[in-house]
Amino acid sequence: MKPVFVIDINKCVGCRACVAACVVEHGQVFTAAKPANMGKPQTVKLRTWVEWRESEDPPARRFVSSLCYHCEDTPCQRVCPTGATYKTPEGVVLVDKDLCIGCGYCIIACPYGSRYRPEPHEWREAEEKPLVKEAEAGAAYGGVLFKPPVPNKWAFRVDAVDKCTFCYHRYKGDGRLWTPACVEVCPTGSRLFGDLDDPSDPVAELVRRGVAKLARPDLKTGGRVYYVGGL
Amino acid sequence: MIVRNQVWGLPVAVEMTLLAVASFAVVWAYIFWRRGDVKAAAVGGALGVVLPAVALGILASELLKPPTAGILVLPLLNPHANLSSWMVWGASGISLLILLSLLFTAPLIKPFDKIAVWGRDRRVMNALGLLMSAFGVFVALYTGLVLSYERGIPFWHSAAVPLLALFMGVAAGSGLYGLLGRVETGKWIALGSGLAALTCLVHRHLSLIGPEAAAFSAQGAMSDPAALGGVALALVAAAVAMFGRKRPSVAVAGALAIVAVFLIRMSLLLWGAWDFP
Repeated sequence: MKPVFVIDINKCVGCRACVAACVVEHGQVFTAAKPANMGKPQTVKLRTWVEWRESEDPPARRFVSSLCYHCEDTPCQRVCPTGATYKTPEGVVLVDKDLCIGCGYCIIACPYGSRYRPEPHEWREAEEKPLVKEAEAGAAYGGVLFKPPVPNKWAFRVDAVDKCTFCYHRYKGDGRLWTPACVEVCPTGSRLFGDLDDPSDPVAELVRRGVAKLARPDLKTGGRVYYVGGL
Repeated sequence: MIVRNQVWGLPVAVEMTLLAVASFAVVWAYIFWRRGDVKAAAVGGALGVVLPAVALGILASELLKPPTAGILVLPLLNPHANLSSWMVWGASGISLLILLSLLFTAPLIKPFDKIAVWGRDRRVMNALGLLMSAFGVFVALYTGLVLSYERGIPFWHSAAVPLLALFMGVAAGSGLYGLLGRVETGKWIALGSGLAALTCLVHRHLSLIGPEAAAFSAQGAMSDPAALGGVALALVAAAVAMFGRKRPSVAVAGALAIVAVFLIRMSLLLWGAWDFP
């Protein structure tokens, strides 16, 4: 099985349901909820995020969502001093949170901005407050830290670099494709997940026909995230 | 979308500057020992222990898991070490530099010379000095290689960066001895600072005609007072060291060279930028 992710830019309406689903699924710190950050765009990097690009003639706004590209040739894996970054047999790039020391070298090496380190204030907040499932009052708590509903060893941790896992914890190891949380909640079908090894998979067909393309083929890293509609 | 580096900032610039000073201070220590100047050799050797140790300490404080900082000591021996990572080789080189500097310096210091009996054998000291110098040069190069190896940040992904790091090591290490009044280091301060300034300017110029993110970084570095100040100070240090042969001039040149190295390193780090899709 070779999981592949396709994002149809033309269908994305920028609702960020994918971001919310990811935050809840993996228990990340969502500091955009801090009172000081009210009304501001997302302040920290998350596993997946949505940006918009505007054009004037004709006036338009396009939403571009991103996540880890799960490269074939992985710069992050190459530079990781402790071997914390590794690849599963399915080609999903993961971080062993116990081995990661948080040096940040993988963040430097990643040409897609797909990795981030929890910021010091998040670290403090997380240490001072135990993991909570529900958001506490914003005034009493610096950020909202969600406890992942299904504990998994790749969930957000304050002491390790964080990145998208394609929700690998949902894979049962039976060779059958799973559905990532963001794909599950996407209301417009902008986010699609398929299997490149399955000849009848319609998502993989988009890649095979060349309708879906890599974001930066010039970087020659390959990857498992393709876009329909130019960036 | 171009995004500036905020992952490795001031602490890493300080750490790499300390390594630059130590890298060629140990080379000078060996040269002074060969000339029979034990006191001067002991200073460089001691700095070869202290400065890299402080640098590793800074690096450890930057980690998300400070208790695991022990992994930075000779990581080559760690079963999980990823040998394709420059950080593993670099941290191992720094650890060995500390060890070799300690072995070289201990026999040169009065209370320890009775314990450090290997210091009585000149061949052993010669071998230790040579190895210490080799690791010093390696550490200087490493501070550039660690940045330039991957393509993530195009401004750093250049052959000029390790060269720049090497020249900054020559300038800073020689600058330290210049600061201590050793006039014979003057021409090396001039050479190191001059070549560092030249390489820095060439690197920025080449980056301007490179990928978009590299051009953004180069433009930023060229308009940043601190970055320009670094190059200007390196040129002034080179001129003062070349034309002023007396002790105060060399000391001033040495101080300027070290400050210049810090500013150039800082601008290199802070103006690094990615070009995300």
